[in-house]
Amino acid sequence: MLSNKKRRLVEIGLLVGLLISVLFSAGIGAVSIQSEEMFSAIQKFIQNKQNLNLNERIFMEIRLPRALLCVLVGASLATGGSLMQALFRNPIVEPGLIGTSSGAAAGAALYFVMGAQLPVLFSTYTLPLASCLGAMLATALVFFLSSAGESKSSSTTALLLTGIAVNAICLSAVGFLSYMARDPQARSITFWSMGTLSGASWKAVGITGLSTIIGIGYAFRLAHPLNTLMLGEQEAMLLGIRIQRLRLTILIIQVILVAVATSFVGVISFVGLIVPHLLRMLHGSDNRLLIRNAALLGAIFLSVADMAARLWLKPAELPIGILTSIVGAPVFLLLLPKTNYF
Amino acid sequence: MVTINKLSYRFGKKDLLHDISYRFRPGVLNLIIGPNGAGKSTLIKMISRQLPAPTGTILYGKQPIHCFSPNSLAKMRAVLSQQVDLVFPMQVEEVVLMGRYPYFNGKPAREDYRVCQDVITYFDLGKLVGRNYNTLSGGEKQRVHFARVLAQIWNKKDTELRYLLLDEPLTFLDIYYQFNFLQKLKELMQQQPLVVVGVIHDLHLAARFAEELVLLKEGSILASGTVNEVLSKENIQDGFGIEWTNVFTSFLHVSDT
Repeated sequence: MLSNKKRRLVEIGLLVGLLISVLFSAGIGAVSIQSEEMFSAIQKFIQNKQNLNLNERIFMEIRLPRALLCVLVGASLATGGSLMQALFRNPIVEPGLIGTSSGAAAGAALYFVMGAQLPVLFSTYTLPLASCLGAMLATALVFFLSSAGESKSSSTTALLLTGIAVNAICLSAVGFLSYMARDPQARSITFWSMGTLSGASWKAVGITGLSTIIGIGYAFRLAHPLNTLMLGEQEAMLLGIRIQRLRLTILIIQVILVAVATSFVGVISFVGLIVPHLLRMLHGSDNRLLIRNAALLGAIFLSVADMAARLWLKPAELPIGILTSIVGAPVFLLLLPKTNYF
Repeated sequence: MVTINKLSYRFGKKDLLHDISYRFRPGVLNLIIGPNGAGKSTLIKMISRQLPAPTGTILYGKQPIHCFSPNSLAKMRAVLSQQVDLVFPMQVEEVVLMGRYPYFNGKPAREDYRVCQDVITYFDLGKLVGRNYNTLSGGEKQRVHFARVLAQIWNKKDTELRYLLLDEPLTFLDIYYQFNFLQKLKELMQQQPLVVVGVIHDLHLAARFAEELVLLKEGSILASGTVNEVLSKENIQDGFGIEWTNVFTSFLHVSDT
């Protein structure tokens, strides 16, 4: 629990941290790029000159889009996680719970196996499109199945249980497809479900940027209704909250944030779970703070993770999803005894 | 004034409430008593629109309650229920501020902070400000909740009626806090225009604090009126199925008929 001054300090700290981690993740790699080169590259880019040298081109075409994509995806996943935890009033929930990530994985797996048979209509967008569609379908399925049975008070539980079932279906579809797949396809499926940012491009940044801004912008407006949910659904309704509508809104935002982000980078687990947790330890559970800071910390978290993924086994690259879990989980376990939920 | 007219409620094949009509007057403490399963909580939930009223009507003043939007209803009626626990830690003043959520979008106005300050002072919660709600004792939590619920309908300026419904709010409290709550409530009713309807289990408290009692049994009103009229020998025996002499001595001093 922090005073207003300390809250401000946390925010400034997060902003500075974000800036530093973006600069570092753009600078460090197989070729290291100095800050002067970054500035001159951006300058030349703005003036629309073509005479960029090799380092400047690496920065503009590879590093910068990747660093920005990291920021956007991290922010999206962490915000999605805070929304889910607040909606389900459960600190162990993450965005994958209502089928979004596993649906995306199933869509992507289908693409890897069947893609060659499909007419290539959307060129490089076919994979993101397939996984995004999978995510949307799975989430929509969860929502409609869970609201079919009519007992309004318990439908958050229904949402949770339906989510688990749909997750199981999607994951078994992924399993089946990897079993059926020939070797290179199966490897693609495996890599994709561990996440990678190596495919970052300016187009991916543009599309993810749009979904992230829309999604997070809308999420801010839900902070108050979500706070009342901490008292329970009954109390929230007595305060004038339309629970059914809130639930649908959160699901839609969730799809916008997580489906689009996941479709470009694959499944990255743990960010949506650990980031809201860390923040709760830091400044309590007020969703007004949590949602805003989760976006910032999520971005930092994923930027640092991506840096580590690139540097650890240099020049090879570790799948980022493995890194977020392998580092995130022990840190999380160390911090858990310090939580004060009571 | 809350007017209910020919109210019935069925759940499955069971009649929980059967053709109930009554008027709850403002400025007096209306308490509903009755044995388990009499339909007390169902009635409170219907009056607060937590349950729909498929047959019969419920009026706040002259308006049927189904006409209000969730938000405008939240600004005029509040429900104090049994102790609520928070899943995540939160500061006491944040919990109280939740009572003002129906009034603002985004940032609380100065008025909202003023009301919170008022209720915090009124319930002597100053010492709890800054504490984590989940670390409070049961009595303290319930006081914070009472403050939050009243912040929701706090009304010092206009003469418009507000509606406060109590759904067994005293169940887990010790006798000191039970008295404390009811006394604060009676004080408040002198200062602000309120219709108060509550469900209570303890007949002693009911006898001591209520101005009007409604005795429910099997979904119907068995008796209603003043304490002396309702807590008669016949009504106690009919309503609760226990011998009058068993309870008689204990609240002899208030309802000596």
